[in-house]
Amino acid sequence: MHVENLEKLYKMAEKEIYALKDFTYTFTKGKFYAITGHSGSGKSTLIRILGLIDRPSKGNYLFNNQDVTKLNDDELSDIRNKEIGFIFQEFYLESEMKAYENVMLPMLINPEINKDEREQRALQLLELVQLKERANHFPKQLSGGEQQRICLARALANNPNYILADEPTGNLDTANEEIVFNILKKLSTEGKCVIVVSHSKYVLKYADYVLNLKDGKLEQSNELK
Amino acid sequence: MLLKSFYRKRTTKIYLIIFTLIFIALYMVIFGKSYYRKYINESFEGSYITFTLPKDKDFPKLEGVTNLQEVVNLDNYFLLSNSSFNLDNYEILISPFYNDSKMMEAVQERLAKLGIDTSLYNFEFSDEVYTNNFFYANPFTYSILDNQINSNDNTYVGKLYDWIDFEEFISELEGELGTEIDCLIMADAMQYIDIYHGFNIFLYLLLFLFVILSIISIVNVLIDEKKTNFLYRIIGYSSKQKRLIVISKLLSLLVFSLLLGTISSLILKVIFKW
Ligand SMILES: Nc1ncnc2c1ncn2[C@@H]1O[C@H](COP(=O)(O)OP(=O)(O)O)[C@@H](O)[C@H]1O
Ligand SMILES: [Mg+2]
Repeated sequence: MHVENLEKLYKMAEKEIYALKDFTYTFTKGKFYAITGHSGSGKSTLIRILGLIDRPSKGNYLFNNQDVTKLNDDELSDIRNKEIGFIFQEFYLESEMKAYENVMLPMLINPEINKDEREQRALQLLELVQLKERANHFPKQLSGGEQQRICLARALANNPNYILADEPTGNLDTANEEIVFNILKKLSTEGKCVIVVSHSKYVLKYADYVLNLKDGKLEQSNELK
Repeated sequence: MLLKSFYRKRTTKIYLIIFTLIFIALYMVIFGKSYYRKYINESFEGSYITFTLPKDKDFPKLEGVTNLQEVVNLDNYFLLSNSSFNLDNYEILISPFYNDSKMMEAVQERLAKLGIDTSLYNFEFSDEVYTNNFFYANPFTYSILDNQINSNDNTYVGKLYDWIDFEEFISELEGELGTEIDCLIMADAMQYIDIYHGFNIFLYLLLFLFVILSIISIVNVLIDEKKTNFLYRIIGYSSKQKRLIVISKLLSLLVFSLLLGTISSLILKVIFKW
């Protein structure tokens, strides 16, 4: 993931806000990136642009060496489905679907995953987040930490190369936070690119790089030992 | 899986039940209408239309007129048909439908006017006549014939398959034939037509309900879908795929309730032998 001079401008009635300005960086597979910054510094904006949910107002974006600024919405959806897994602070689960069905949801539109493999694969992913025995529960029967782990399993449904998380542990206790960060760390060492927005001091224990945003600009980026 | 989760929603179940009830009610009205249609046409049994056309004019070909069951030229039919009026055998069969002395008198009077010595004939009531043809030995027929003797016109008598809305049909037919048509209607038959049309009020009411409920359920499903819009967006569903899901959910609701409504109506029909 290589971005150059990213800029996001929100135009409102009276004023214009640069949520992101002059952001240039390269994210590589196999690394764990932590993004920090005050509230309103543009972290969510960055995650949404990197995750192809929003388009930048200006700038270049090469995703797997492909210029994604020129792709249409359907093509972007397809990349999101196969290449990117998201986790947000809010869980965004289908309340009428059981845990394993929620995990299967991204697989339904991915022709690369066989119909009869889906359920098996969903159960494996639930095992990875230590929730296999909760496969048949509905979200409202699960705690916040468990729901977030379902989201994590769902993010991995199509075996994406990129995991983007926006304050994934904001609503979790430390025990669940540790489980989530451990899994994310494991994924990065297995070769995935993990980008996590977090206020937690804890995240620095896991991250390879830490990026600090201020007023939409990249103020600092450090490699951690 | 997507549909299964859709039907887990309580609101979906409620819509399904209401739609099914509406379909059942629609079937009931339709069954009721067809029952009354049959009943009305049965009570019109014995009614018919009559009109005259000049003798030198051929009977017009009535294309596209499907409600006319049978039209006969009364003079020809009455006098020349061998099957029941076998003048050579001195035998006259009369429908038992009007099995009374008036009927017998009318036939004899009619024949006397034609110069036939009725004392030579053997008069019998016979089912055969009635089943063979309705027009035979019907008191209406006689009165018409009496009026038409020595006239320059042919008198025609016809029956309709369906007497519902016969007034409209007849005024159309009058236009086609260029002559006035009289209706000879059995007493009592008319009153049921109003009941039949009364069913239409229910029909419109149900259709109105159906439209209202459709709008409510569509709006509700759309609102629900909007809530999960971001969810489907992050896991890579395109707006096209999302729209397809909404449409198939709504369509399945319609098909499913129609199916349930049809099956339960048929079961009710069998149980109550409508
Ligand atoms: N949809 C939007 N419309 C207008 N302004 C927005 C919108 N989203 C974010 N912003 C503004 O952009 C800035 C950065 O927001 P955000 O990326 O959410 O920050 P963070 O996630 O770091 O708290 C904020 O000033 C916010 O008010
Ligand atoms: Mg944010």
